[in-house]
Amino acid sequence: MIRLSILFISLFFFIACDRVENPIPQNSGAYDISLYPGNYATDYNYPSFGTNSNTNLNVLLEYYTGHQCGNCPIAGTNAKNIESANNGRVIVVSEHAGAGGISQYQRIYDPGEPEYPKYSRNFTNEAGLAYATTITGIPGNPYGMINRKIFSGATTPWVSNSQWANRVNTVLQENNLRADLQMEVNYFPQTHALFVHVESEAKTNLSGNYNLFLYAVAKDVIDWQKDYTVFPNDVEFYEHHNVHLGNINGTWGQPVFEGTVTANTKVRKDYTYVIPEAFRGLNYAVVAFIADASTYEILQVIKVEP
Amino acid sequence: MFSMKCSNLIIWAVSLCTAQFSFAQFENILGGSVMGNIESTFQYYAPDSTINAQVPPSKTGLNSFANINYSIGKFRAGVRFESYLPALLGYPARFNGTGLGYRYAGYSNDFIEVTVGNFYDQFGSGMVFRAFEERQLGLDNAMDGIHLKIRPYKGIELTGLIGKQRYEFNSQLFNGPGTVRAVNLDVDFSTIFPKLLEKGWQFTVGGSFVSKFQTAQSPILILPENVAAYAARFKVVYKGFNFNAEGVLKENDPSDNNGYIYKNGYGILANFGYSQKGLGILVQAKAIDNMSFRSDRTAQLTDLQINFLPALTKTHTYNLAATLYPYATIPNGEVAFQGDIFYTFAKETLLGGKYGTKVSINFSTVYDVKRNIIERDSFLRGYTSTPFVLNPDSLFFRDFNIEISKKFSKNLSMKFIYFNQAFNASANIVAQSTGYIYTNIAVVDMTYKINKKHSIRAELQGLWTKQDQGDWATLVVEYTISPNWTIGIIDQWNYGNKTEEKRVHYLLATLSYIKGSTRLMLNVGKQRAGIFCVGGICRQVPASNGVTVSFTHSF
Repeated sequence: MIRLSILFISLFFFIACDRVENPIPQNSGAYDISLYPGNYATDYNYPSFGTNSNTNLNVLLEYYTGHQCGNCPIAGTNAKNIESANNGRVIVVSEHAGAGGISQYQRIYDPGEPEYPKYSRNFTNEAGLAYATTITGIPGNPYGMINRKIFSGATTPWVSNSQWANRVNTVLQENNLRADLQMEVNYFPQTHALFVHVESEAKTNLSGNYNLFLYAVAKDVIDWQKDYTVFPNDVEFYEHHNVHLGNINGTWGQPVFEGTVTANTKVRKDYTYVIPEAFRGLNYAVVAFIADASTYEILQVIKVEP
Repeated sequence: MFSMKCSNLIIWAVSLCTAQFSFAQFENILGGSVMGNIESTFQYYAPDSTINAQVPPSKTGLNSFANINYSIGKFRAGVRFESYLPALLGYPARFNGTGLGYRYAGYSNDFIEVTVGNFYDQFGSGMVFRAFEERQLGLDNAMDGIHLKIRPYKGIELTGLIGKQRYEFNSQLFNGPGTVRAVNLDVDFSTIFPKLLEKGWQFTVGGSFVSKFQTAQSPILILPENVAAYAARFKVVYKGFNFNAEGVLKENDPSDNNGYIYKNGYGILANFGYSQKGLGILVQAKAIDNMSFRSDRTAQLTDLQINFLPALTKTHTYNLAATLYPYATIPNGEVAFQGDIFYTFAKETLLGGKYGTKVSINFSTVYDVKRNIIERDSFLRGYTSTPFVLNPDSLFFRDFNIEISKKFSKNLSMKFIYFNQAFNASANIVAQSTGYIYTNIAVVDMTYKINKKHSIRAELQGLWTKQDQGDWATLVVEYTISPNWTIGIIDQWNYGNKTEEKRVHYLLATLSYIKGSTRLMLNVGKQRAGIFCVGGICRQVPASNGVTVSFTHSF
């Protein structure tokens, strides 16, 4: 009887309990709920996504520039014009990087140099510098990439300013939507944190490896810019548009579709990101895109503001 | 006068008489025996804007309960009929209709005791598990499942149970969503080793394991679907001394109550007592933290509680002390201490006089636990705390009271009671204000025996405070004609209210008739809004005006 009793007790201990070390669902990326300035569990408005009825492919125009690049503002204006002419289907991101990563155009002045404090803000970020050096062939600034696509007759995705509009139109007209995204972004100034929730969806059957990239972007940064179209060339209050601050989920993003994936497959990811100290007190947005991990070509891109 | 519909009362009275008659027929059927009781309370509500008395659309309420238990040999079974037509004001709104609210069948012998259906039980002090009914509070967390008790050896008792908890009554019983599983072992060494008892020692130990299961589908958090709690306890008695203690640990249990933190909870309760003829001393200490333990993580108030957290404060019976600022246990955390001394001055001494004098002194104090908030709390642990380390700036409740009972003659006996209390109305949301309420309360209770059959009892109570509703006075006069009749009047007067219109007399007349195991009671008048507490669990009672008829009978 005592054996039976011990067995009886043991059964209950096997039921035991679920000890939860990390209460955040495992589908999350770098998601730090301590950045929420309140009771995350009871107060945070965690989004759910409905059916995505979008049928349009968007375009990411990555505009590689430098604050000491006097020829760049013309390209920058061109990029903004293309963006505003396409009803939200073109998203421009300013990437401060050049040939070899940091060239003379991205140079910053340190305290003690005679030009200081002009051009003292470091607009570069780790991811942008990596793209400029890894996606080979960037001739210099200003140059850009249109959905990182290698167009017919080209060997690299780098496109000169004069061709941007044509290339953008080509992609928009093809409208080959193979994957899509939905995203919600919350920003908490108390902790300078972006809370990013993304749902990726395969719109067709996919094979290969695809990564999700998330850019933290400052919408307008007012600071020095060299501009050869005006005199004097050093413009103190230049509006730097959609400046890429850094990647929320790593330089090369994180895998979202791997191997063979059937249409309508959805993947949910959550991230947090702390705005770098040099760029606080601004307006922000998050640019999300899905790219082929081997060719870099972008399947879809969206931009969402908190 | 009240515009009461007399037909309601007549139907109700006739049904009671019929019920009483019918039950009498069930005794000793099929060779077994039937036992039970019936309790019924009917209220008619009348409007009264001076006290903001509530009147439900039905204008009446009825709570009725009938327990019928049958046993034959080692077999037993029973049911409880319940009626809420509709439920009395202050009761949970989800109690409605008539039907079976409790049913069970069981078998027991010296070795085993098994119950299927509904059952109540308690492990240790209840801090880890207690299924119980407190009808006056509308609290009933009866288990519904199977309960097994095994006695493999004298002095050893092993209990196992699995079931769901009662949550709702709508013409039938509805259980909550969670499942409770539990085992408990109690060992009484003084039964196993009788020589211990012969030498004046009693020694018992016990341990419990309780686990609840509730499914979780949160997109935001990984919620533990199985939550466990453990308890260990012991009790030592040696002659006049006794010491018992229990410790409980609860694993991560994020819930509405604790703001979904994943911190473990704990509870420690220790009691030390000494008694001899004419003297009793009790010292108690308790520390609990994050110990709300329910079978539904979203449940509130008194719903679906798996455990019971005793209040270390004296339960008062005089209405100003008992119902205006009573202390209710705060499951999220408290550190409490209580001391009680009872002393009887012997007869024919200076203070004892001819009949002796009883003195009782009680002091209790309750604080919040000291919480060390975790900064950048990525894993939702909330805070850390240490047992019995309190936050000195967070007094929840303090009560000093002294009671002197004295018989002056064969016919006259009196009680004099004084209370000094500090009540944190921001921690216990029962008052009409927040912050601290400091009260002085005095009670004089006198009973005068006119002759063998007639006696009169009077209470005069005063409560003085500068906060909340100000000063109160209560007068109670009861005239008893033994053994059947008691007639009384109670007047509670909020004479110190800062708002003149609220200086209301709550006048209530009572009449009760007792015959054998039957009691009928009639109340007419106003009852103020207040808090009704039993053992640290409280229910808010709204102000009402009207007629209450209650009936109890045992068979």
